[in-house]
Amino acid sequence: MQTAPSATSPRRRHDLDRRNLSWYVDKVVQVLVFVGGASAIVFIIGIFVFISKEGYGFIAHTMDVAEFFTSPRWAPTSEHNPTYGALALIVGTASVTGLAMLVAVPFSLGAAIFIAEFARGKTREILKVMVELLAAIPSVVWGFIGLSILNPLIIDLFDVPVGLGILNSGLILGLMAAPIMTTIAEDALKAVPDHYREAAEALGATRWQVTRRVVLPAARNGLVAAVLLGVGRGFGETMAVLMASGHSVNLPTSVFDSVRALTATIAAELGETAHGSDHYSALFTLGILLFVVTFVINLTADLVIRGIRKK
Amino acid sequence: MNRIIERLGYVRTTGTIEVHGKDVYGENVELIQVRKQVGMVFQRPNPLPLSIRDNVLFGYRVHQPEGRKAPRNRRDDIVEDALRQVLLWDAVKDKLGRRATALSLEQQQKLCIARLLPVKPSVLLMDEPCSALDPAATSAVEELLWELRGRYSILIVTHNMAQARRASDECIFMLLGKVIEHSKTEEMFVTPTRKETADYIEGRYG
Repeated sequence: MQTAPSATSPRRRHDLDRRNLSWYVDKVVQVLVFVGGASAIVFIIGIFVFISKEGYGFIAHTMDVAEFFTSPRWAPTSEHNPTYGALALIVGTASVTGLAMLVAVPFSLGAAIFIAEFARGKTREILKVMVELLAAIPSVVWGFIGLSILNPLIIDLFDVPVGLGILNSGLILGLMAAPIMTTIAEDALKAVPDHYREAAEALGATRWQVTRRVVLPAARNGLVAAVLLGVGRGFGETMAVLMASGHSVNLPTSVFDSVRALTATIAAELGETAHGSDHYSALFTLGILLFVVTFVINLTADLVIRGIRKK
Repeated sequence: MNRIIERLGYVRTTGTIEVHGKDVYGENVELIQVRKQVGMVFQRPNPLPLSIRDNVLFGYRVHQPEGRKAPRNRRDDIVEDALRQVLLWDAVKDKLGRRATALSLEQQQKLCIARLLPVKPSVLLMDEPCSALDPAATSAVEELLWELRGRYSILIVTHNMAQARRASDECIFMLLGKVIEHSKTEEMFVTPTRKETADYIEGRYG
């Protein structure tokens, strides 16, 4: 349907096509917000392309897949026979993260349940601030605590020659991951509608019965996501693990054994390698491995969280 | 009356409410036992996010001594009995495992009444149980009230004059937290003794 062009009419009283300032502001903001959102995708693809490119030389030419995943010998600087077995590093990262989760899961879930379900008023507010402060402690400080406090403590308590190892770094990493997991888990518990609690309490359920039978099942997905994000954090943590784990390539046989983590290896060795050398790109291959693992963990956590919303 | 109001934290309560000759705010009264005796139905149906069956059994399990579990067929009987009492059995008997939150509002509200019954309360406290329901569901719930009458003391709070008249034997008129008048329903609506009551019934305020 064609209306008379407004230019021909002398008075523009019904100018339905007029665009005011707000219209332009809206458009500009839309573009800006889009750029902000899209940059996340650009960065993640950019980073992936970069580490793939740097690691490519190793993967294509030198890498022996079987050796990489099954050999515990990581000796890239050996003059005669450099070997690139990442098994010890993978086991190191996995064992430290595993112990860290054993520490962090009960602590953080306990703290989250207390803050969300039991604590009232001032106690709750103070605790929340404390947990957030705990999350803000830099990882190098945690590493320092591992080196200077936990190390002699473990030596004294268990009568072992060195206190740096899985136990030390697992404890440190667990304490590091706990605050973040607590915050996310608490959010998940908060998201459970209050009328569920009201209904259960009116039936004469105690606080704990309400929590165990109603709130925890309803918040299950969020709690799983919190744990997964903690695992992701454990995998990616570098500095504290580097300082507290002892950093020796080793297939551990006990929790007191020193191990080396994937991340710590990259951090410690990358500065000493020649750009473009086999060693250099081998480290980037470790980076790809880390990237893929954390990506999968975070993606799983995200899908689990989405699972809640669908219901 | 089952002290759920304490959740709010900012309310002040005065006066006494006696259940079985004991003040529910009395010193040596256990909150859990009060809530066991006085089942409460809320304005908005609030089934728990569990299956229909688990909803009915929730209160029962909560009050069961820890570690003692009734055999399965006993629990089945409890579920069936409670759902039959609220006239819901035929509608849901084939989908007891479904989530209770997927039921219609009317069915949810009936379920909320049903889950009180296995606890064996003596009083059912209903806070505007029909205010979130449409007229058909309202009449279904009111019918249920008559059905349950005699087995439980039912205390229903309502702003709906017609409902108060339809669904009760005795009426208490309260204004600003104070009891103004208490009499048989038919007497109150025909011959109210207090002026406030008369004014309210005639719709001069409210």
